[in-house]
Amino acid sequence: MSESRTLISETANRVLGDLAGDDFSAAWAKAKNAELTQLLVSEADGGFGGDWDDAYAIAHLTGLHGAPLPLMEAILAAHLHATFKLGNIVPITLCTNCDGAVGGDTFTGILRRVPWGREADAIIAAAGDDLFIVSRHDGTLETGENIAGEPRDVLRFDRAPASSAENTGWDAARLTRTLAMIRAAQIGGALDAALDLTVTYARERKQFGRALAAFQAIQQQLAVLAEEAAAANMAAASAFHAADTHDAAFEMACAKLRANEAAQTGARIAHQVHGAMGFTKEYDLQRFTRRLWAWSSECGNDRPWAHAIGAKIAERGPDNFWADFVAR
Amino acid sequence: MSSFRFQPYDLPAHTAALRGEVRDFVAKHIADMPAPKRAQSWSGSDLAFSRALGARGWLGLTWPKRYGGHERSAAERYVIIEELLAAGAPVGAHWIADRQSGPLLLRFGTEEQRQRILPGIARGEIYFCIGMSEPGSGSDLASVRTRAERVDGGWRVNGQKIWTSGAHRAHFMIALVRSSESEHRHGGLSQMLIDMKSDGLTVRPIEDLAGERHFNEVFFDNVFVPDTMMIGKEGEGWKQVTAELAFERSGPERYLSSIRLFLEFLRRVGSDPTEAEKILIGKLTARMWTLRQMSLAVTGLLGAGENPATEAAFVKDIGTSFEQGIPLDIQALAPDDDGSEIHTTFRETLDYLVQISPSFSLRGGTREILRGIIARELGLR
Repeated sequence: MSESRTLISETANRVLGDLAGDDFSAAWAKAKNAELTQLLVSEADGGFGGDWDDAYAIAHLTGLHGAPLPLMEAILAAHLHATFKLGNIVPITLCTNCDGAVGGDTFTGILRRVPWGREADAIIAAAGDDLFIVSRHDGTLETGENIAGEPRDVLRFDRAPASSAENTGWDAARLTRTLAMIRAAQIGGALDAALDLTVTYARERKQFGRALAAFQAIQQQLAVLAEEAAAANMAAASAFHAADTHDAAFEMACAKLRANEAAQTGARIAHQVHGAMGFTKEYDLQRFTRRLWAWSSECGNDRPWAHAIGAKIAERGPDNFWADFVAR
Repeated sequence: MSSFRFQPYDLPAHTAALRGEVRDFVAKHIADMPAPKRAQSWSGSDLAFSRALGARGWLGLTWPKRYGGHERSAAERYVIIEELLAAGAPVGAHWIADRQSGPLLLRFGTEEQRQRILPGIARGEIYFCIGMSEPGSGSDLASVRTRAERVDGGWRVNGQKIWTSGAHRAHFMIALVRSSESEHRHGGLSQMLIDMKSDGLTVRPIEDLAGERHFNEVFFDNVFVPDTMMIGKEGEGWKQVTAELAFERSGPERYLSSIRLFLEFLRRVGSDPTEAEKILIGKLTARMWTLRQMSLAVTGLLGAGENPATEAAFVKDIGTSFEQGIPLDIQALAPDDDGSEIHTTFRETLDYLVQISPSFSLRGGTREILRGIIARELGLR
């Protein structure tokens, strides 16, 4: 790991690990003061100038800590905002569920499931090929949450002033797959947290006169949980790594799909080993497993990604499969 | 505890040309080989093919030149073997010698053993088998009972090995034997080189459930093994065998055993398959891509001089579960077997892999043993 990545990872780990009990404003202030949102803003624009490998490290940490912040959305939004000079307000979130169109300098339509939309002054979204930014204050807000309790709001706009950029290369599909890749890394982080909690619990909890960890049936299950955590993280890290060299659509699709599978298996095992304790609001496990379930259905559950990969491979045919596969 | 040491690893750019050379080589040598035959993967063997690979300089790739090796990188070896496996090339004859016996001799063997044997492996002419399992000793490897007793100038070996793949064509076995008494169950074990032509050694084939003869029983009746054939130190066999297994567990052969069926399935369903078929293809591809990244990550660790024994256990368990799942997933979704396809390439490949897939999570350390290794690393035992 590079020195700068170690530095930003350590900072993020410290900040994200110290948010317990904070309300949104207090938590966000900590992240902002540490300049974490500047990760992917170029040094010329006053940012950290990080790459996608750096972003993987931070995305993993947001999952590992179950951070109640749209930090990765803000990092990507700040990157797009600075790169394409989109307006004057720095957005802290973005939306991949846009139903509407940009016409002239206005946007009319609905942005759904906007992460922490209620807290944002501005939001970046893509309508077809148009990447644009709107002010939240020009729309109407309807609050909502995903099953992990993370804000996922609806915003409606009628000819709201919108600033857009042309030929960005960032259409709706690319925005979606990039956030899908981020969710994959967060799933990897949350699986690592669930693994840690579950291993600790299995070593402490005694039944039939010995620790749960002493039972082979439990050991074998925990090994599978560790494998799934490793697979999700490898898939995510590899997709971020690929994004440093090309628009890694295939890798992002694979990463989200594999992470989804890992989330399902991992959450099931973590709960099974914890017994009833893991099923309580008070115990920490639910902070991670509810995120695993929420994130595996966001930015594409299994179906669209499996379908996209499968259709492409079938179209290319068996004689191209291997050469295509190892070229990625 | 975050995900052990799996970091993305990029194959060096110069391996691209090598990959092309391997594809050309395979196209030239096995153009007419039918898919069900290719589906045998590293169980299939062809001595002429092994010798041709050796002549091409692609065996013993990373070993020192003074032992007939080629002093090339682990990354280059990775590229060669994944291309051979993807093509279903008949690599079985030399596979064990090149993958683990040669590296074991390089690490623990005597100078004389290395000079005598390694060049022949690198030429694709000397083949090995692994003498670990016994009738009473499977996953519990430390319970081996084959005995080596001190005699003048060497050892006298008595006992039996079983499930010994390739023993019928191997020139040597590396056998794990009990050579002395020890209070510790991992003590008193040694690894020795045994010439398969020795007096008193008998190989008897065992037919597998698909009717093939890959594995064998091997009997030792007062087999004399000279002192010069002891590998490493007498009594250090357990440590050596553990190191040997790490070579065996992370390669692409641990997730590519069913690739031929996946490709024939793609051929069978055509360019515009059903929704369910597309979804299965997508899911299998995402898992395969992830496994390749993990397997490459282990290669990166090996290249950096690390010991990735735990990471290798991850790759082998996830990989063998994956390759074992493919035949049943495809069987469940394949067009109804009404008899009209009985001799098609797709059906023959499917039928073959459905039957041999149980072995994937047994050979080289069972699923349960691998998970036990991971559990120990997690601090559970």
